Amino acid sequence: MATLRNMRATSAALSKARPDASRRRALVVISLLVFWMLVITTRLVYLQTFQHETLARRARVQQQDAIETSPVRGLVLDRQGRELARSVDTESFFAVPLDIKDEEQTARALSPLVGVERSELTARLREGKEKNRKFVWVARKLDAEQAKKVEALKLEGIYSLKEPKRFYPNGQLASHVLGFVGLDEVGLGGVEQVYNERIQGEAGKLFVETDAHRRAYSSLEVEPRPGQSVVLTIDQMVQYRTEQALAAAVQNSKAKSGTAIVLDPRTGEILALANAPSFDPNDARASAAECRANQALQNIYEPGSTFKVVAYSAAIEERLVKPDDHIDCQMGSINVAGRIVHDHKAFGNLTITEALAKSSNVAAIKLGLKLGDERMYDYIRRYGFGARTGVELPGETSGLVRPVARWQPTSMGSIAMGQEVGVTPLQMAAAFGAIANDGVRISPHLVREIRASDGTVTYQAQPEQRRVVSAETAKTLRGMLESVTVSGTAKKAQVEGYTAAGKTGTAQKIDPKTKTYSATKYIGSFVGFAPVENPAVVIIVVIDEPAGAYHGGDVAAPVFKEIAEQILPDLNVAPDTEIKMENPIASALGDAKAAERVRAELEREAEERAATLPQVAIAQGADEVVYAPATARGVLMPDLRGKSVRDAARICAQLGLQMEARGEGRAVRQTPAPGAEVEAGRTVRIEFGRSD
Amino acid sequence: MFAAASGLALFGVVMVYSASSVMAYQENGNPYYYFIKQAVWTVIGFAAMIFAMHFDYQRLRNRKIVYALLVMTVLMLLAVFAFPRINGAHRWIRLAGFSIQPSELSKLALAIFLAYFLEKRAGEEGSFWRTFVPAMAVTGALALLVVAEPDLGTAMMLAVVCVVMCYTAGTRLLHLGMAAAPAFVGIVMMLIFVPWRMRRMITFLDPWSDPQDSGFQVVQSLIAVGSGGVNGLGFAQGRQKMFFLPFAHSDFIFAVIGEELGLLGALAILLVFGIFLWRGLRAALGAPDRFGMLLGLGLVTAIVVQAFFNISVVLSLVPTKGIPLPFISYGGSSLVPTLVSVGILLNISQYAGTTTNDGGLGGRSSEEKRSGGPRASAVKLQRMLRVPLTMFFG
Repeated sequence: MATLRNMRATSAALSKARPDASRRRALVVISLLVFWMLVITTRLVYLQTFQHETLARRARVQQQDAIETSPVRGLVLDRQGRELARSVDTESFFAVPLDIKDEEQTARALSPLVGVERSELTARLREGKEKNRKFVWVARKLDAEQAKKVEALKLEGIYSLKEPKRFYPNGQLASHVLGFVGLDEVGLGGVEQVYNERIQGEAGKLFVETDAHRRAYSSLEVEPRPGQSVVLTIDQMVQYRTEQALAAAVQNSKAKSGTAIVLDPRTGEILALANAPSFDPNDARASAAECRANQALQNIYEPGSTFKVVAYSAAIEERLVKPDDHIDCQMGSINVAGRIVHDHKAFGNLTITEALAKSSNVAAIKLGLKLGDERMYDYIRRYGFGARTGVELPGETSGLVRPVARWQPTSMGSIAMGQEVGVTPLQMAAAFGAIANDGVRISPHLVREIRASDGTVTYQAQPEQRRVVSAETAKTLRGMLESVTVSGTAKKAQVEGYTAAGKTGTAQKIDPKTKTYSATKYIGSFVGFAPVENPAVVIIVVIDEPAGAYHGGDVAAPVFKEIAEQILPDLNVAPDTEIKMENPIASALGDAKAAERVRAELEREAEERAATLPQVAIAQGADEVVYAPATARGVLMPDLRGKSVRDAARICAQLGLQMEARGEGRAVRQTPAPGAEVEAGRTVRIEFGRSD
Repeated sequence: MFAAASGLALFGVVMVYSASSVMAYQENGNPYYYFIKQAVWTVIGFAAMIFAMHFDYQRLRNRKIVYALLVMTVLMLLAVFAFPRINGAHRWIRLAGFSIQPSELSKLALAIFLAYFLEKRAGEEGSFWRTFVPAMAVTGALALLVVAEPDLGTAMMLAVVCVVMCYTAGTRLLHLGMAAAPAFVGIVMMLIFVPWRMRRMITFLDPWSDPQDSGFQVVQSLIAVGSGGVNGLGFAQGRQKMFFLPFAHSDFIFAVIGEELGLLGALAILLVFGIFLWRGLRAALGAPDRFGMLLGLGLVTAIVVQAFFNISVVLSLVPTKGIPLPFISYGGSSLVPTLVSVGILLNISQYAGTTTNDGGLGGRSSEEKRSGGPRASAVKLQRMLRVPLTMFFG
């Protein structure tokens, strides 16, 4: 039976099996196809879920061009709101290498206009093309004139882009405070560097959707956020006077360099900080590195006699001596642990005040010995020596003050008179600030506040305050220091109309080769304040390596006097003493007409002096500075003839003048005429024309 | 099946618009250029499909018709070389503004011929000389002509149609293997001696190695599909068609689908092809005669295999071959024959379950009555086909 069935099945299979075999085979085909479908499904799921992120990112990379748009850097303003640094729009040009057909020809046309060698430009474009770059810089930050010329070439594949450029309208003014920026608009010095994050703002982004041929078809812009503005404690006018006086002194004494700082001791605000030689931050790269170094806080020098105030004030504070006590100056020599220290002149018995005025080394050392190392060290630190002041500038050093444990028995013989210690000019100014401010030292600082672009204040200076000596001691010391200018080593620091006090310092420089005191290299300094009773300013002047006269009283004290005389009236400080100079008005008192003439003359002179201050200066290009002298009521109209519309508009805007422009091209006529006095807010008419 | 086919075709028109509008605007200033042409072709295709649907497929089982078709196809394939190259290949015959691609027609002609021929050789399908060699000779001749165009993709499709039909008809696997070996050697030779084919092969193995040049299509395709994610960027929101993705409206239209409609859309399209496969096979297997069954099978596999192959190219599962996605890709010369095939399939499906008294063909019904085992398997297969279909079409 089974066999039969088998046979039947076999025969059926033989004769009629084809269709069934076909179905079976069709089933195999179907299975393969279904399997294929499953593979496709798996692949789809894999690509569209697991690989989605990666592939979507690749898609964005090729479909989107994100162009960073530079934010506008914030302003840097002086304490009165005058612009010390601002950013202006410039044109930059870039190439899209793939759009350029003939690199050689493009480079030939561009090279003379952008100041890059033709071969280098060609190479740059070729390289960009080879590496398939979408963007190659050709010229950065051209001024309007250059940009116009490049644009006129209408080169294929060359496009322009607005880029802000940092501009310092006053040129060198306050360069060591402001610092400068690099080509990429990043602060590389001064406040620009320290507050770079805040000043630079946030870059915007321009997302451009492009097709495969890089044609844009839609774009989305995230606006850049403008940077914050920094308001300095610097007063542009005080800074200017300080720089002028310092530069003249450095030049006259043929010194290597010099530093001057003006500090308001009541607030710790730095009104001026100047170094000579200086540099123009508009073109910082062109200047030597030593010109850019900020000596005011990087130069460690042996202070010499100015440091004696530490020993004197400490001794008085500790009630070891009183100003009228007598001290034996031992005819100019003292033995400290076996080392003999001499005075520059043999003094006998002097009062403490006299000893300070005449700058006796022996007296200072004797006071130091009375105090002892520990207390002396304590006061040194309390005055802020050996520690950074924390001023908002980069590169500050803390000076050199050895810890007391490492003092030698002979150390007091040096330290009490300002040797074996290293200080910075700013530390010294701050220390004298403590004496000027009734014994309270306020950390010197030069940023008043920082404002966001909408005007909200995001940072406000909160300087540290610390009592160093009692108000009484400070007052006593001020009186003693006054005698230095009245009858002591710094008579040249006497200020016209104001009482002044201070201390000279003359230190031999240490020769780096011999490691001993140099016989020819000195640092002459004077640090003082005025008026004595209620000091409004502390001024330190440090002259490094003067040729010829090197005594602080000769090289630095006159600079103090010059600065103080000029700035105190400007700062509205009432004179507290008679003007010793012959008063032309008083002498002409008898004759009313003559008196009137003299008064008018004096007013004119005052005006002229004021006019030397660069109230405003505008760059045309980068280096030309336009001075618009300030007068009592406004400014003197600058000569705008020859300026482009854009530049003229910028100048007027800065001067607070309304410009009414007619025509185009360059300014040919202006009302009011150059040199006329104009008030802020006034409308000036300028006619432009083309001189073909 | 009608629903699946026409759904795909209509969807294709819309997708062609989405994928081509930018390019069309760029080229002709008219974003609807390809859309309109495709719509016209679709109308023509539907007309042809309805005609084929009402044309009794059994009338094709006529010696004269079959050979006339075959000869006509060969002539057209030869005529192609008289026309200038387009995209570096002689694929088109341009007549009065219309261009037709004989290679697309050849698939149809081959399927009809093989169905006719294999049915005639019923009972001796296993014969090497009587069945296998002639079938291979005809296929080979057509394929060679197509390769010469050159259009390797379509030639491969011809081979697939032949293999599937011969295999199903009962050709011995050994014979198929014998044919496959030289074909394989041929393909390898071609890869070696035609440099761009070799490059394609290499880029298939590692498309990211050279995304700028030879791997460009594959890379752009993968980026398109991948960036679509699950939900896609939305219809017409695709970005890859902005000249990144080559042939976005034709061979790589599935990448646009993946990008714009996401995983869900792509899977839906795949599913509809699946439905089409089930429906087509049901019609073929339900055919009253061997001719119908083999023809149906050949036509269905030709379309579905081509679809899967195209999708696999897009997903970089197989090396790049220029073949369109049936129904959807732009091009009337592909769409019209495909819709005609569907029409024939629909016609075959009308005969499902009926018997012909055409003796000697081993009609299914007589077979079913007699033996239990084979019948059971047939019923099983029928059920397998029916269950999912009722699921989809309620």
